[in-house]
Amino acid sequence: MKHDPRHPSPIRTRVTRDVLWLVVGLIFVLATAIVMATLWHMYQDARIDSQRIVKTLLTKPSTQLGRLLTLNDRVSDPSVWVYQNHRLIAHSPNTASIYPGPSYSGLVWLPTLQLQSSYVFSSRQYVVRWPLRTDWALLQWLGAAVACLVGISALAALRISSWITTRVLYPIHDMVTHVNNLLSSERIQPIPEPLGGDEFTELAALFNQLLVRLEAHRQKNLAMVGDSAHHLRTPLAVIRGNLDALRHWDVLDPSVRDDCLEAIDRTLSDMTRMTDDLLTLDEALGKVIPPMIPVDLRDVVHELWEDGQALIHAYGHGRLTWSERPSVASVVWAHKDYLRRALWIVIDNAIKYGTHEEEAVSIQIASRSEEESSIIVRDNGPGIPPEELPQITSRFYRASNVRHLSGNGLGLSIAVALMNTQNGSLEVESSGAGTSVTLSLRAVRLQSDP
Amino acid sequence: MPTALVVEDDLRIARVVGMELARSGWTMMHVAHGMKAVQESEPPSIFDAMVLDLMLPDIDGLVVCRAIRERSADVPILILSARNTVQDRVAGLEAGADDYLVKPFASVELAARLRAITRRAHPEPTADDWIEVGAVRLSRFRHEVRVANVVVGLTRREFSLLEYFLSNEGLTLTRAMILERVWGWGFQGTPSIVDVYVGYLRNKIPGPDSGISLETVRGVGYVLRSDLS
Repeated sequence: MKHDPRHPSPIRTRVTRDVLWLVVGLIFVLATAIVMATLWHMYQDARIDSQRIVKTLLTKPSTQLGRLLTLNDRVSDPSVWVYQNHRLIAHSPNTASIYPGPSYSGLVWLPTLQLQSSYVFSSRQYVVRWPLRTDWALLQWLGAAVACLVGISALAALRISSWITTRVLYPIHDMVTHVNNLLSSERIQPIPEPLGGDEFTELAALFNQLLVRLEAHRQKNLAMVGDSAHHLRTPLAVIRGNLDALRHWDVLDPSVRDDCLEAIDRTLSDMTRMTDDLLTLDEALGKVIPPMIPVDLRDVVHELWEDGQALIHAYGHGRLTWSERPSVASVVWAHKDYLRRALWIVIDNAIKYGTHEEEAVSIQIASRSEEESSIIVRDNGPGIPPEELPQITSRFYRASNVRHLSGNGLGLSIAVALMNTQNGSLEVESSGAGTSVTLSLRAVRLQSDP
Repeated sequence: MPTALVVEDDLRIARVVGMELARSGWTMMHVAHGMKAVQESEPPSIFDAMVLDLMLPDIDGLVVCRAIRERSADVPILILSARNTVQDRVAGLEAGADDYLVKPFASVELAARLRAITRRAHPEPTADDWIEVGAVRLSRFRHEVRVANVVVGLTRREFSLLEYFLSNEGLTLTRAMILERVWGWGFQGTPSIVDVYVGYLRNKIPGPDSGISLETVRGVGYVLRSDLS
């Protein structure tokens, strides 16, 4: 059946209609079967009774027939004719006015319903009409009873199905009301979950989860816009202030002037960096999956290893160790630029935040399952406060114990987005004794496709 | 005086570009439309380089770039764009541009890049692939560096960095240019590693022996100079 989405047929109507058809149909079939069985039984009875009468008349001389027929004063009062050589030789007293066709067997409707049977034995023909008046009355009663039953059960089916659907569907009705309220108020809040722990409770719970997730997403995006604007305001203020100093101070010491210019320059670099990072993040969060090729994690670590040493040199603290285990499967599906950037962010963070003097940052390649291989970067730094761990990958978030260090708080979110877009993941674990970041990607197995 | 065609619809950007070009000794021709740029670049063109914005009012900058390359005009093209994804960059270079600079940019960056793409006199590798500056010889194929004929061991990055410097002798290279060329995408956040690597190179290839020096250009980057020149 075709459904018009603008006029949905309510479940209630549908269920009621279906139940009605089902019940009426079932009862109709049953009643038909009963009536048929009854008819068959009556037919057999009438035939057997007719035969019994005929048997009493067989071999009797024609002179006795009239008497015998008159004796037939049964309640059922059958009409009997006996022919010999197509000549009527005897008939029962109740047949005076009716003259049957001689050889017809079957139902006769006039004047009342009768079953006519015709038997031929040694030159005699016996025609018996067995009256079915009482049977007919019984059938009529039966028919009426069936009709009543169908009617009553149809009504009952209507009432019961409507009662059941109402009872079953009232949580949906509630939910629809609540969602309508949500829509009209344009405020996102969970709908009350129906009691009973049934499928509707589950559905409502799922619906609420979805709402909460979407709402969190929306809030995050809103916060993102706000945060971005906020994070641009501070550098703008720095530029404004320095520019005003350059313009309005009557006497400006050359060193102060240089400081101002330097400050403006540095601030602009930070802003440029931040907008670059935001755009990179935007790109990585996009739905486009980058083209991926098999990449050996060892090569990537090798490449960044040297740069990591240089970075340690630049920061003036830290140490880098790499425990290389040749047995680990290390070829993964990756976009090399994305992987390199993500790993570089993680290494940079580990050296910047995780080392003070000679503490080591260790890099390790591991494979947790056949499906994926990972690079684990572990530092022995102060760690991330546990209550801040969930937010650590959010945009602009910077752990409270490292806020004095430079950075814009976008690095890790970019790394996460870059890993996710390659069908990989980035996980952060941290304790007071250091932080470990695991970058995982899907392993390349022989004869597997990306 | 060399002339640069600046294709840019934003007059404020065009003005800044013009100022920097004038300071570095260029004459500027300015057009605001892509079609005009294509017409102007019909040979014989009178300019030596093109600074091309990607978001133009009439046609896309990439289309301009391709059109010019299809007419086999080999004018050096520097794309100046606000778009900065890996794909944008790749698309720009594939369209035939010589370099890609993202707004906002430092004026010194613009000048350095223009100079780099317009300079024809790259030291030609000798027949067996040696680049030679001062007493330093570098072979790409053999991945080998010799100073006064003594082999110096360099790591992969050090080698690439030295190769980039040697090929651009006398040109100021900014940290961003070096990062892009030697390190690739993803290292913009840590320009300080360039300084560290330049330090490594200075240690491994000391000035007196090699006849070259890696000089710091304050606030900009580095330049490799040959003591002989």
